[in-house]
Amino acid sequence: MTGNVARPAAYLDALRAQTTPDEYRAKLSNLCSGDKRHAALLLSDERLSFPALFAAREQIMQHGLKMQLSGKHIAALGIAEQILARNPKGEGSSYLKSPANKELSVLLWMLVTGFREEGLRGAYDEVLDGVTAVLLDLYHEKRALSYAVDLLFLRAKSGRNYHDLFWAISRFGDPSSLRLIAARLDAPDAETAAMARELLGVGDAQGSMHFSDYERWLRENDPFLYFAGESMQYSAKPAVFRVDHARKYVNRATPAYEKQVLTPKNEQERARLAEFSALEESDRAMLAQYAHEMRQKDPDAWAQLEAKPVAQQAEAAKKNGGETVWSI
Amino acid sequence: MVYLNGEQFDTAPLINAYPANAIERTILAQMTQSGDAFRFKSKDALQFEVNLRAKTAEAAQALNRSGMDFTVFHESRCNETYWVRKDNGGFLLREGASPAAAIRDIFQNGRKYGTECATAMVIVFYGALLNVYGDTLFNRTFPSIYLMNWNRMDPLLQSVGIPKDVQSLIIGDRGYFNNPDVNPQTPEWQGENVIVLPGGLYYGHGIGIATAENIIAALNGNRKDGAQRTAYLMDAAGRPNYNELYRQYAAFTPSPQPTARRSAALNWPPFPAPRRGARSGV
Repeated sequence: MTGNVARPAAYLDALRAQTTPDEYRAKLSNLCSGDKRHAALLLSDERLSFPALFAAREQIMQHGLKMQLSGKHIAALGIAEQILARNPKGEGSSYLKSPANKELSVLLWMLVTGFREEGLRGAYDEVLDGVTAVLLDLYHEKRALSYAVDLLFLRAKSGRNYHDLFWAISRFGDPSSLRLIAARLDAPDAETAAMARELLGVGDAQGSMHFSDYERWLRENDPFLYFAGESMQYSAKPAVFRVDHARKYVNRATPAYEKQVLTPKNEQERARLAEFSALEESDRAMLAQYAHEMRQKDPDAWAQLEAKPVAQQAEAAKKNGGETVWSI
Repeated sequence: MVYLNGEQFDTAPLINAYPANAIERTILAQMTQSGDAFRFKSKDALQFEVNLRAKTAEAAQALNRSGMDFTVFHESRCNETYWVRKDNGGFLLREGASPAAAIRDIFQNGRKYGTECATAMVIVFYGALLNVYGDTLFNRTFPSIYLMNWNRMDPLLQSVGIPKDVQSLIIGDRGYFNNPDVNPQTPEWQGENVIVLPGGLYYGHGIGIATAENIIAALNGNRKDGAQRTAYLMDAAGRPNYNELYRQYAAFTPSPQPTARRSAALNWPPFPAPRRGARSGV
């Protein structure tokens, strides 16, 4: 989205940086009530950021300038209006029906130039939540993910609501979102690291957890993860992904992060899985982890233990298993 | 199944002690028939849970009648006499305000408030506890309240925000209808937190009191184009730590627990007819 060569800021961005929000609005009103063509040109500046455009929304409407703006800026204002009206089936919502390249570039521009904004709140935050959700859920746009995670941490730091944003990020449905959050586990700022631990459901607020630990865990469990899609509306400790312990226990990968019924290969496996599912959840997690490790380290020993009753396997896991098993 | 000191407990005499139409009868019968184990150290503790569940259903009805608006966090509002609205959309008890009076105000002046469905559930549980505990114990137990979905829960209510798989939902449980194919622009329809009520009804803030079918229809009406999956009621419940809440109550209250007959004297108004869900203000 941004070139390698730094370009000077758009006039209105520079003006906004030098003035208070009230002064910016007053100057915009003066501009718009004077030379409308000039105002429309400034508001159509290709370098303009989305926050500067959004902050000018009222003046643009008041002076009937919307349709004189560039196509990108008209589309961005339309998307913002449509999100705030909370009517995804209403006018201007065609981009929700069939993702199109034209809207993708507009949505990306809104997020990329808008995620660092601190001055605008409330409605602006709601628009960026909606834009992020559409980019990640409907367009499955990976380029948006890192900006969305940056935005999440900026929001949390400033005490603003980030719950819908976290939900939007989770809708990407791929553990790369977890990896981006986990990168903050090593943040020098303790608050950021604690936030990352909380979002990932690892350790407690005071405990420590490093990115390398999480990365190792993610690599090991990736084949068995399924999308649980829990949100903060549902749970205080939402799990975006969960480990399918039964699949990990029998070493059968999860198809495309989807929870699917595990069909036993034979009667013997059917019986073992039935015994396995009767265990307490924590014991299932522990045994699955133990089976996974044994398979890597000593396949013959695991083959011997696997032939024994599941309860006996679980006892062995309790006795010998030392790995931390996280709740997800 | 109900267990008292580790032994299976015959609830029939207790059930029969309640009048025929008492909600407590249904609650006890549901607990008895459930595949989940309900463990108690005393009969008083069991009755406390039954009573609190009944009061939870009652509080849900009362909140539904209060006129509290459905809003997303960005647009939440509260009575600033008792609460401070935080930047994240949550409500923090104002310094010096009585917790009991502040919670009561939500039920009495609901129109001054607007929030989303999870926070409404938390308010229901506080309302029920206020009813059971009374002002003095309530103020002592919850000197600081932060209403912000499941994010800032008092330790005594924390488990309401962490649903566990259950065999069956019981009256007074917090349940959840999930909407996996929701339109990404309307995250408020990603699901509906509900309180389980008698008669196959649920209270969900914004939708009101409705059947499961009506709630699912409302959620399904807000899915993205080409959605394949329907909304559904999850087999999971959020339940407060009833035993710990009872311990607080018993330590404070010198007199015995309300008997079956006493707690059955609730004035239980009939439920309004279910209506098709449409969130107000959305």
